[in-house]
Amino acid sequence: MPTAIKERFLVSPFLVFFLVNSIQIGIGVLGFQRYIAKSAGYDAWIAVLAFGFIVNLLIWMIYNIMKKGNGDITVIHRDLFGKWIGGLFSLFFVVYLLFFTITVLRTFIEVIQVWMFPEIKVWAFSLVFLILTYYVVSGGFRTVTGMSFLGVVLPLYLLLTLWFPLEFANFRNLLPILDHSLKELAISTKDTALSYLGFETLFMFYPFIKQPEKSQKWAHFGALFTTLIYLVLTIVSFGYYSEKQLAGTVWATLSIWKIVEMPFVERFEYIGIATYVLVILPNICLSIWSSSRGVKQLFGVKQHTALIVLLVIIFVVNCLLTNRTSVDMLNTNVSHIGFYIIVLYIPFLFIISQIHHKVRKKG
Amino acid sequence: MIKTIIILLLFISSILTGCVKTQILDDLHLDSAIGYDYVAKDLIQGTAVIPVYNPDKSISSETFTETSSLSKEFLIKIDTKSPKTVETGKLELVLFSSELAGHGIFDLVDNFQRDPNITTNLLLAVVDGEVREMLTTQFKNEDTGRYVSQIIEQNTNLGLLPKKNLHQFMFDYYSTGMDPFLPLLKLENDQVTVSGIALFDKDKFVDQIDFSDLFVFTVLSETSENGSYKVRTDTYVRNLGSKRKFLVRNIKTTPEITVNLQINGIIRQHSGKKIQQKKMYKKVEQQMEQDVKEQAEKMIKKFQTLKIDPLGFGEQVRSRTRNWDEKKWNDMYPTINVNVKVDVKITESGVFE
Repeated sequence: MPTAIKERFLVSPFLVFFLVNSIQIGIGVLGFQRYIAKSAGYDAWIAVLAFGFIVNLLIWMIYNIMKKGNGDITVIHRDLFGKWIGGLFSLFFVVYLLFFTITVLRTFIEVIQVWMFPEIKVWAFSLVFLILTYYVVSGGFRTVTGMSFLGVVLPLYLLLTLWFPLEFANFRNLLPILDHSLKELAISTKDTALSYLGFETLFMFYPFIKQPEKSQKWAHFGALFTTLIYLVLTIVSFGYYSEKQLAGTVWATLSIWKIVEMPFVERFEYIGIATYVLVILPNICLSIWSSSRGVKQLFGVKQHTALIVLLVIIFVVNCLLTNRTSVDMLNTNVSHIGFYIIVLYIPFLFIISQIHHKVRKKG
Repeated sequence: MIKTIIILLLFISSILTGCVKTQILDDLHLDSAIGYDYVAKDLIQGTAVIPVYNPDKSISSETFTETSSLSKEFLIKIDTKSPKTVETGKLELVLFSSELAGHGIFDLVDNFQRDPNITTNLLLAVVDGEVREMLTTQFKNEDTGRYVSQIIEQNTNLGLLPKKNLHQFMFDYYSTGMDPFLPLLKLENDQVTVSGIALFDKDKFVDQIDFSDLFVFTVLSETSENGSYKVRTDTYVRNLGSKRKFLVRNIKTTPEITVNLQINGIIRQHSGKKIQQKKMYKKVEQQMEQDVKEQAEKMIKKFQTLKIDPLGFGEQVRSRTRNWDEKKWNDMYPTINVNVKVDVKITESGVFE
């Protein structure tokens, strides 16, 4: 039985809205459109809605699991599967979160290299960014939450820039609706997954919520808000690009910014990408906080030590990924694993925990 | 201990921020326009225009011309001649000679859409004649690139030309049921004029629309809020707002398309016989309806024989068909029936009767 977390480390239930939303909205937003349109074409906006629905279902499951357990995922794993197998599962989860972080940071650096500074060194940017991450995360979970709050609120104005492409949008592109088979839509729904990943960190930070039962609706709202943002972005992009054009556009959202013209700024991408640091930072902070917390729970080391070790690993791996192909490969693999974790493992854990609970009640 | 390390690292990183190559505006040449001429197969002649801001506040242009096989190579070759680095960040216009456009321009345009430094609001146009000649002409106290793009912008705002930028060109190019088109310019007596529309089959310039058909083409291709039309010889009508609506019948077999065109206008000039106002409106409306319809149908017939689709009929049919077969449509396109219905409403005729 772990000791309860002191109240001064807890956060209010409504902040879960920002935590869930900020970790879901990440690097995927900049270029998810062409991946989801690959199989379902311009019917893929249905997939966005469908996966938004699935995410809410999964959040409901997570809350059900967490309410029955007494601690974070590592504790639940131990209670359900025993020390060794449970520990193995937890370790896998921690490693997954670590790679999630690497993917986000490395992809963002790639964006900077392609769009702003081709000469920038991966190690230099990683170093600066990771020191910042260290600073935030070592402030504890409350600081991370604060970062998430800012990471949602401050970049919200970027949504206004979607006004500009509307001048050129042709929503006839979306017709005829439902011109693809159910199978194609299902594949597209799977491809949407990467954009929604991250909310599984709930498994780690659930014990840090004050009156966690009350936070469930906020988690759902957060996920709904994510769905809404993705839906709007998808529909605008589908109107703005013709289908084959989108297939060749690597960063569809960023390319939309190329049309933005304002009297005081010639290239909006520069402002957009710079603002995007605020979206990426909480993303990285929350996932690295979660995985360092996991290491602490697993190996009994100080979270501070775990954090430094993880940051060093991220830094090294980041520098080893040198080109577009490897970054792309990392993205594909992490999104695949993430997809299976959320759609297979969460329901699996849900069922096990239900059975476990029933059995224990009888006993 | 750790704290000192962190402080040290933060200090180092604050220095590191200066490590990216700086680009100082005064040391750069920002080209405003680029033009391409055809030399031989796989060989193009590029001309770049760079505005020069003179100390006496006047503006002139400097041009660089180079022959190369790739358009990026051309820019690098220019650098060898220029005292300052040439950057494309403020490029606003790209011109193609009609001869080059006839050989296809996709590779050149693709280079611009790939470049993150270039806005997708970039204007594209075809020049009837030699591009170099147009770009090396000095137009009063104005940079040539800016001058030519202002001519295009002005005419677009006036409703004379449909709006076309790099994004829209690419949109049409990649779209399955549509072919792109661009404005056609001409240099006459040292003046740049809009002489019509250049029609493309995919990326190849195949035909043009003359100035006299420009109004009809514009109202057919987009919801237009401006533009003027000469009815017969005695009346000039200004378009206040036109709408087009497509009706497609028999989608499953041979589609039949009806374009409903609604034009609201006012009479700007009428030099015919003085007759009662109501009667005159009616007469002008009827004449204009008849003329526009005739012109439009003739134009569409021409598109069909050329197998090009700048008005996007394919797109209209595609968005109404399940399991659309592009190939079947392409085979069918020259033979389908397209009707144009024009409805003109004259609302005013000025402040003096």
